[in-house]
Amino acid sequence: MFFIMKSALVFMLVFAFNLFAQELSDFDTYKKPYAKDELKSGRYYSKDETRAIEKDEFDNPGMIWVERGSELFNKKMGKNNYSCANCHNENNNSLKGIAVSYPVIYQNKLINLEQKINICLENNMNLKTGPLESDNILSLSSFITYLSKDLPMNVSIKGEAEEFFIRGKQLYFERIGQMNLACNQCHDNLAGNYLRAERISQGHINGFPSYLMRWENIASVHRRFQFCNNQARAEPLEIGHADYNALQLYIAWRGNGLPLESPSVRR
Amino acid sequence: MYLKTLIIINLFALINFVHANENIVFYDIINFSIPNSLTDKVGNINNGRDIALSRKGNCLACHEIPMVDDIFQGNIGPSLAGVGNRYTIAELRLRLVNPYVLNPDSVMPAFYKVRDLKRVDKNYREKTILTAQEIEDVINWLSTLKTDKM
Ligand code: HEC
Ligand code: HEC
Repeated sequence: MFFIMKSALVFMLVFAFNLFAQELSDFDTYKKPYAKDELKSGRYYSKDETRAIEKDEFDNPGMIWVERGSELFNKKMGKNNYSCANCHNENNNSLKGIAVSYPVIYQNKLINLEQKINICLENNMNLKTGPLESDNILSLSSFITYLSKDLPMNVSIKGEAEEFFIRGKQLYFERIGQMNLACNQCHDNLAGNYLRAERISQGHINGFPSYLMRWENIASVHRRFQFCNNQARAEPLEIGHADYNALQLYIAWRGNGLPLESPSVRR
Repeated sequence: MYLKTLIIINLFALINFVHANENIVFYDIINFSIPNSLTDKVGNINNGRDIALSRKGNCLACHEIPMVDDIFQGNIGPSLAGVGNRYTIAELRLRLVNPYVLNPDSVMPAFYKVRDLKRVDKNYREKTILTAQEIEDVINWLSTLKTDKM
């Protein structure tokens, strides 16, 4: 008898607590894991040697993509013989400062910078679009991002962006893969700890496109998401997938205020 | 969250007998442990060590194992030094098979679980991380970790 009463009490408690937790999480939709003065970019967690390579623009291999991007940006292309610089230069519709606000809403969808570049290539220059993770697109996006270096990240989650933000947050906390892990378990709760040789950071994206030494290549934000998905043995999504954009928006928002540091260098 | 965890632990303690609806081999959880071996074969300690230290078990990703000569050891979970003193084989079995019984939010993966997982990569779908025999091997090795020196 006593046992049954005790069980019933426990069940009621669990029920009440779940209700409580539900309300708490609704209330917490806009709560950030790190307050502004606690935000630390990935650079803070990387090794001294890696940080030194990142800082020195002659050593930083990511600058190769920035330079190539700058050449492409100024190159006249296609039938119209236009370059990006014809429409976007210092005096005219400059792209300085735009990278900090991506992903953005475009025709009711959330798009990232690489997708925006393709839209411009297609609509304004009558050119064929490139695969998002191709050298040309990543070079252009590295260059355009570099124009905003040191400016604070500043994405908006207002208006039409809000529903994507909510979706992104949901994805960030969703446990996935054979390892059954969610992003927050590592990047909100374990930053500073070691996963084997790797020091876990807060998981910000202010350093993207980012040069990964292990691949000797530049990686977009979505490529990094695929990599973290692989580690959890979860099915990765396609580069450019709407859910990756939503996740990107949530992560950018949670790091709003961090200075843009692309091209960052990581192990 | 802490409270919720406590309550769930409490629940398990009360029910005391959970028929886990996992895959392949069924097992009973009794008093925070799985008393019965998952296989008929006693676990092989040497194999267990190999599995734990290789990519297969990948325990070093999260745990320090001081008696192992490897400078890259994770520190997400507690050190495994002396773990053979802290737990019985039956308790170690539960900790590998399904740590969520003890801590629903655990980062430690359940090494013998296929249900209730989302978006599992197709190469790993419907597969457990370790086989029943591999679990037996690893826990037998863990039970030999009696002190922090070796
Ligand atoms: C098991 C732990 C773990 C999980 C789960 C995890 N990550 Fe990571 N993540 C890492 C490690 C380790 C690194 C490399 C070190 C670093 O930069 O944090 C990393 C790096 C990153 C970076 C690059 C940070 C930088 O400054 O270069 C981003 C962005 C990121 N993760 C996002 C995610 C997202 C999104 C998810 C969920 C889909 C996720 N991570 C899940 C461990 C994890
Ligand atoms: C991704 C991280 C991760 C991996 C991989 C991992 N563990 Fe764990 N482990 C943990 C955490 C975290 C805990 C602490 C308890 C908890 O949160 O569930 C833990 C707890 C334990 C415990 C209980 C220790 C104690 O003192 O209470 C044992 C035993 C254990 N793990 C063994 C293993 C073995 C053996 C492997 C590999 C076959 C392994 N773990 C792989 C994260 C991990």
